[in-house]
Amino acid sequence: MWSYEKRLQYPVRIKNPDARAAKIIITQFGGPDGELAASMRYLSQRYAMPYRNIAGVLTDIGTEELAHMEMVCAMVHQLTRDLTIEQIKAQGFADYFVDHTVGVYPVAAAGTPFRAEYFQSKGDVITDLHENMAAEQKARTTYDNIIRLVDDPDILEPIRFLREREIVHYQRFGEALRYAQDQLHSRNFYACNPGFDDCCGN
Amino acid sequence: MLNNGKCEALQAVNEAAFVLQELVLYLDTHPRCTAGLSRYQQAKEAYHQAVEAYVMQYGPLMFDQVQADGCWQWVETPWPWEMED
Repeated sequence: MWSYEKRLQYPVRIKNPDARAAKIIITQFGGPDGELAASMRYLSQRYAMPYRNIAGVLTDIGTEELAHMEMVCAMVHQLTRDLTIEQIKAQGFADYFVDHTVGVYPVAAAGTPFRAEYFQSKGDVITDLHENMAAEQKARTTYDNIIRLVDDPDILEPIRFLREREIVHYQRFGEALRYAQDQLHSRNFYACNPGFDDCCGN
Repeated sequence: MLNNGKCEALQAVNEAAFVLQELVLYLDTHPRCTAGLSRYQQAKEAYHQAVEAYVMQYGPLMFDQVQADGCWQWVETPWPWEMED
């Protein structure tokens, strides 16, 4: 069950439309390391978690990612909402515009629509937590690259906030992984999936 | 239209909610931390106070905070991506 709070987690107020920036930033909505994939990754993984505290980490971070997705979508919306048709053509936005007008649709920066292959749910606490730590780092790298590519302070401020959240989530997933490893059966030398059996039949 | 009072009240909600969010994630992996638990109690209270102050003046943040007297305020106040507040 979820409830909606009618506010952004961190304010987004972009005064100047910029279709080029929008095409870059939209990748954090529908791209391989975007917030949609992050949220679906964590919320899908919860059911196979053998430990309640780790299911809690996945629930709470997965929920925060939905709020990040909303921030990214708000940025794309504000960057595209007042564009003229001349600006759309001049700023290389015609290829997106022809299919979606200025609606917000989940694509990567190069235009590939969102794919479920962007995230994994492997049913193994050790595997999934490694996936999640890597995912947070990949999202952080993407935000680093966005910071290199745009210079409008209205864009940079919320992007820096989102980048910092990746680092906090990486830390929490690292702690969750340490907890999971501490719970392994003493004969589970190779860290086989403890959610399925204690030590791979050994 | 930028309304300074509304902006400040919303900023207070955002800040209090952020502290609470951080404590929730921290407590998920440190569930027995007594210092964390007592900071959670304080943060929860601060968040509720900030929400109440905002909602009284500027309208609902959640659908159970609508004052249902005359109009359905939930769809009268701006959505957060509109830059209207």
